[in-house]
Amino acid sequence: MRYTWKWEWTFVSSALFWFAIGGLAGLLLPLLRAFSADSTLLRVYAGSVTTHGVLMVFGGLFQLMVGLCLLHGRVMGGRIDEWSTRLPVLLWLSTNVGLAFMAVSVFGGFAPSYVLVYPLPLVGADVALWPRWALLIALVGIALVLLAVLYLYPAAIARSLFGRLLPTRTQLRGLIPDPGSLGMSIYALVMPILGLPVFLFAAVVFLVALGLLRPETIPIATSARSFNVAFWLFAHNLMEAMGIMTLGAIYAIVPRYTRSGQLYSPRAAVVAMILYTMAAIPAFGHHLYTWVTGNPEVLQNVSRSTSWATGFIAATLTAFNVGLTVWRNGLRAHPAPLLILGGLLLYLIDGFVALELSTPAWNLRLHGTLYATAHTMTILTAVLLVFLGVTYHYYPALREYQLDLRLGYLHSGLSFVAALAMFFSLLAGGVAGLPRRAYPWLPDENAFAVPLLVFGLLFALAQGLFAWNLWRTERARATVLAPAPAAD
Amino acid sequence: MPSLGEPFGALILALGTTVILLALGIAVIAQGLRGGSHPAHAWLVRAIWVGIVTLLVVGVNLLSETWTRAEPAGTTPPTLVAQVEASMWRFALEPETLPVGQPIEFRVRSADTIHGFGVYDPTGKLLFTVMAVPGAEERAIFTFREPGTYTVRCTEYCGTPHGLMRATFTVQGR
Repeated sequence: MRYTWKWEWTFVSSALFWFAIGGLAGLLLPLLRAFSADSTLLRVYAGSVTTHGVLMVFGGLFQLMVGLCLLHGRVMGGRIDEWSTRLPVLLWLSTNVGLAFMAVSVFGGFAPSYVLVYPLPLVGADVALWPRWALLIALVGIALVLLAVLYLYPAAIARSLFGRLLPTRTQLRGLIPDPGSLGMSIYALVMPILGLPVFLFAAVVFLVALGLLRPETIPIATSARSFNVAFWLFAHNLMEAMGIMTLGAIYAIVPRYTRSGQLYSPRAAVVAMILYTMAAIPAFGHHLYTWVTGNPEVLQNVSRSTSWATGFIAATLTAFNVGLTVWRNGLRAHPAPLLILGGLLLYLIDGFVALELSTPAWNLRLHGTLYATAHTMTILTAVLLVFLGVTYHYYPALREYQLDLRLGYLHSGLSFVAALAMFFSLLAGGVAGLPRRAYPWLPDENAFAVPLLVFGLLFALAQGLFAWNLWRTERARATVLAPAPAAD
Repeated sequence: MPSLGEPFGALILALGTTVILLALGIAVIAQGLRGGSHPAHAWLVRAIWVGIVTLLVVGVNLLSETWTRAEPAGTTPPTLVAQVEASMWRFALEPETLPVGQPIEFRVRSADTIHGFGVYDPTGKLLFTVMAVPGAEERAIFTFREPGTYTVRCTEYCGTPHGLMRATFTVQGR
């Protein structure tokens, strides 16, 4: 049993490794404001923005979710065959080799930020902002990570839950009482389809970068407009799919720390997840409101109403369901539900800001500022808190040991407070009109970096406590599980 | 008193929502840790909660239709056209002096990659942003109410010197 679960722990520990590097890069961002910008610091800043975004999302959060979700799937589905090991191995290699390629390209100067803002990667190479070899290595890395996120992970989910790629009708019905597996299945169903355009367009761009194809040969793939529509269809829905898996984790884990062990309304949970998915998919257009002319009004209205619908569903169905579960059935004190509920609270608080940004009148004054950064960073932090809670829950299943709960309480409390404080520090910067990913700011704007650095350090301290907790527990585990010395 | 439609109004509303959600969240967790209890009228609590959320969703969306913003071309007849070309890492504006109180149509283009045309008033407040996409022309209409020196800053990441991509133009009274 320990052997078959090895890969899940490998994902979790790889996630912690990338979190550490990405987190350090993130702390550099406000710290660099203390120095007057020169060409070297401009490059360091741009490299840190790219490293922080890519590593926190794909190196850290994605792999943490993969490890814990595959474990959940294995626990619930119990399907173990040769593919249960092969697919995670391929997935791990694709993700981590891809990230290593991207890290090398950043060291080579490639720094288009983690959203790529196409056609910047190509144009940057044309104007010698970064070398062409760094662009080509980055594109290989991006392709490997996309392969992992869009195809290998869904395949691994399907194999672990159903023992096959396509579930039977009976297996689909079996998902209803298990929202955790339902959330994973929704990811596996939607992401391969919604990510296909950007995957194909990226392949064409790779051929263009190699000089094997002219951009005008397939204009639909290489024009800035169509590429960005495809990109946001993917990127927005990747965040939403991660969000739906997060809701699934909340529904699955929180009731286990209550007296009854049951959700207040399992049916409402299933309805919420399906409605949320349907509303979230067309909402991606809210990323394109500042295309004032190019974004048709009908698409703006669809994006706006579906964005607000996701918020309505999350607030009225999910929050109410989870809240009443805890209110009626009590809650056993443990870092797992506390982190998960803290993550849900942060998800809802940030969700309202997401709705503000989905409103064209506000968006046209806040898009491109730290207000949007506050939303992106906090939604990911909320997902992180939930999955850290899932880590506390599943750690005994993964490692046959329990983490120190007192350190866990401190970790959960500090993480929540620091995340909320960082959120409001970024919102304040956004209201002041500070452009995101911009270095330097105007001299009188640098004061906004101080709270970001202070609360960023506080958040890092909280994660340091978690790392210390893990290290202590792993050391104790190694001591106990080590073979006894042979008697003379 | 700033309007709710201003960025500061958005922050105040976000802060208010946070306080309410934090209070409810802490109350639920505290009640749970105390052992929980069956609420007497769960259906009533649910109805009130759904009602509040519905009011917020509908209210904000209806109100937002009345807020000042840059409009897509065609909604207001412009009296002046301003050409804007964004390129790595500068803005070229023609003309560089614009009048107060007249609807101006900004025609924004990009010569290379995506840029953001963010216009800030003399106090540093962001008035509107338009994304400049290569291969297309974005047209947005805005009416300036105050004379002064306005700043343009790039609001879409466009490479290492993105933070240095700025320009100014003047708005003069009639």
